[in-house]
Amino acid sequence: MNTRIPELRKANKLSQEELAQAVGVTRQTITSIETGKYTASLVLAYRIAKYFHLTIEEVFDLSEEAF
Amino acid sequence: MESFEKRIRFRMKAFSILLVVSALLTVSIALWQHSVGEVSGTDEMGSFFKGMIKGMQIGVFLGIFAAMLGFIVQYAKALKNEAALKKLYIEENDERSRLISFRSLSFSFSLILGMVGLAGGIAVFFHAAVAFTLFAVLILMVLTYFISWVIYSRRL
Repeated sequence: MNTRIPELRKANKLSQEELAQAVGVTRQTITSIETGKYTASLVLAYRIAKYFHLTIEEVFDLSEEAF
Repeated sequence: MESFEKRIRFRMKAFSILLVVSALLTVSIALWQHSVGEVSGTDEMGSFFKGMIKGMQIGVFLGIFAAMLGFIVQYAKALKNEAALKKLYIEENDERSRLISFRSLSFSFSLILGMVGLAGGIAVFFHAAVAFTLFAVLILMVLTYFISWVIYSRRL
């Protein structure tokens, strides 16, 4: 799943650790989401989107996901 | 975070009780072994295996003892420091870590199930008691799986 998290982090001058703490996960989880190894749950996706004052669709791109 | 703090305090108390119980058991078993001399059913075994059986019992309880002590120290540190408590909360509730644990357990269970079944099948040719024991373990594992499957399918 493609994500805009790295871009949003850079724009907000945030480290992975800072974002992880803010949304209540470990830094490794953020790394895995950014590299596409792990797909965030709906709750975590919502928390991340809310943190950046965006919608889930604006942060995560599900168009390439196989259903 | 408040409910997590309560949970940690409860765990600390529970682990402290377990720590005392495991310490008492370790000492009791050591004393009992000293008075009995040999563990029953080890007559035909060499001194190495006799020693290993005795050592295993003490080792298991010492392992529990060390683990409980480690958890108590970790919880005590977390309760004194808000940042450490939050770190512990994140470590315990991180969804990726939970998924890793779930998949590891699921894979390990399947692998152990297969290995115990295979070992039981091989043991039939060598020792009936060992084979029956392994098959009993296999049945118990499968039974536990189905019972927990029913419990969770009702909960979720």
